[in-house]
Amino acid sequence: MTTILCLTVNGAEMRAEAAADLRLVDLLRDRLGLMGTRTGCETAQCGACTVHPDGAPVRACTLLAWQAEGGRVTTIEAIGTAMALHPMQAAFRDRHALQCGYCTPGMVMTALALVAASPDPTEAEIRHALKGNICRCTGYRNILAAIRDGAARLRGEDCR
Amino acid sequence: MTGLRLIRPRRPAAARAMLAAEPGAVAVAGGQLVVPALWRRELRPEVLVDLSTALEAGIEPVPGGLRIGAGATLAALGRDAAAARILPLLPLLLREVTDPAVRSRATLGGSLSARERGSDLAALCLALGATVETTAGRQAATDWHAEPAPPRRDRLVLALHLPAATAAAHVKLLDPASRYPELALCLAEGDGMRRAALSGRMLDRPRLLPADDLPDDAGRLGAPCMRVPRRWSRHGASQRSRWSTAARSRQHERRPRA
Repeated sequence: MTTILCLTVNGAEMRAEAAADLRLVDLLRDRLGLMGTRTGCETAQCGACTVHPDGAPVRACTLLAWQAEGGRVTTIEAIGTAMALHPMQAAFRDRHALQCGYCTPGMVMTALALVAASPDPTEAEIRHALKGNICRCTGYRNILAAIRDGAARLRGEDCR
Repeated sequence: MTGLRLIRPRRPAAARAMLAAEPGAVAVAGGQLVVPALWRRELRPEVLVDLSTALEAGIEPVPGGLRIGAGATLAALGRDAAAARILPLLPLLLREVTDPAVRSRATLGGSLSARERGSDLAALCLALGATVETTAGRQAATDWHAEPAPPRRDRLVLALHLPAATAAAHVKLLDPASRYPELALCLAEGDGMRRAALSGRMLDRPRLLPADDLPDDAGRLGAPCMRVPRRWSRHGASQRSRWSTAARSRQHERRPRA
């Protein structure tokens, strides 16, 4: 049994036919070609698939597509482009906060949710926000520095 | 394409009736436990019952405590001002439940029903003497957690009534990979009341501690080592909790008595 879903993805309204067990991450990647949202553990442990349905960070692997119906989903594709990085993405690049880069979209989406709630986060707040995001390359120190830096850039300060 | 059907009842009674009538039905509220289980093929339902419309999500002060609708997300509960005023331990405890992205969808009802994974709130419910409101009436949290593991198709959780406490503390050990609680200990004090409870995957079910075993003070909660008695163990063997290696979280608050 399939239903027709209506939702807004990165500002564009869309309709999609979806089975009841189609996950949001599969809708985004397989149907809409938005491959920036990664699939990692697929059990809400690693945070690589973090997106923002209606503003709050959510794991796209742990949400069925129909649960996002009628909502506004923001993915990493709406944050910045290779030619025009978002300040948080630029901070990740400048602070060497990625190596393989697989976890980075999820890290950036989590960081943006954090700074939306707390524009000048403490290190403890950043560590708490990153509890559900796993990076196997960097050891996290540069990620912490990048989020502090990205938050400062978004406040109009520049720590470089 | 799958044959899986999606049903979206508008009222709790209709949702309960659908779950009772369809042996292959699985309820989905926030989906944070169900969706990974679907993906792992641990659940192979024929019908998904969407509870998001049927369940109440309100959080309201009531005489002597707090009433929380089963559809309230753990994130909403953790930032609710009335809940924090009545039970300051609650936001501290919820901050340590999985991570912010999961909390933004996970519901109170789902957490109370998460028996196999070890509910994060079970020890708190028992220590406070909470009451679970279901479509079949009210029952004490001790009875709710004493029953065999789900699926319970005869009733749906509608709300949780949490009594206020003058002091409460909660400490837990987490499985380092899954972040589910291996063992949690909660101590609560109120007017003439003093109770402690244990919960977590290490136990066969959440349990109130005998009065003789209670720590002297909530602030002393979290001894470096605790032994789970063999008769309480899920695996039928005595287990020493790994306080030294597992991730630990500890919350403690005390308010002056009114």
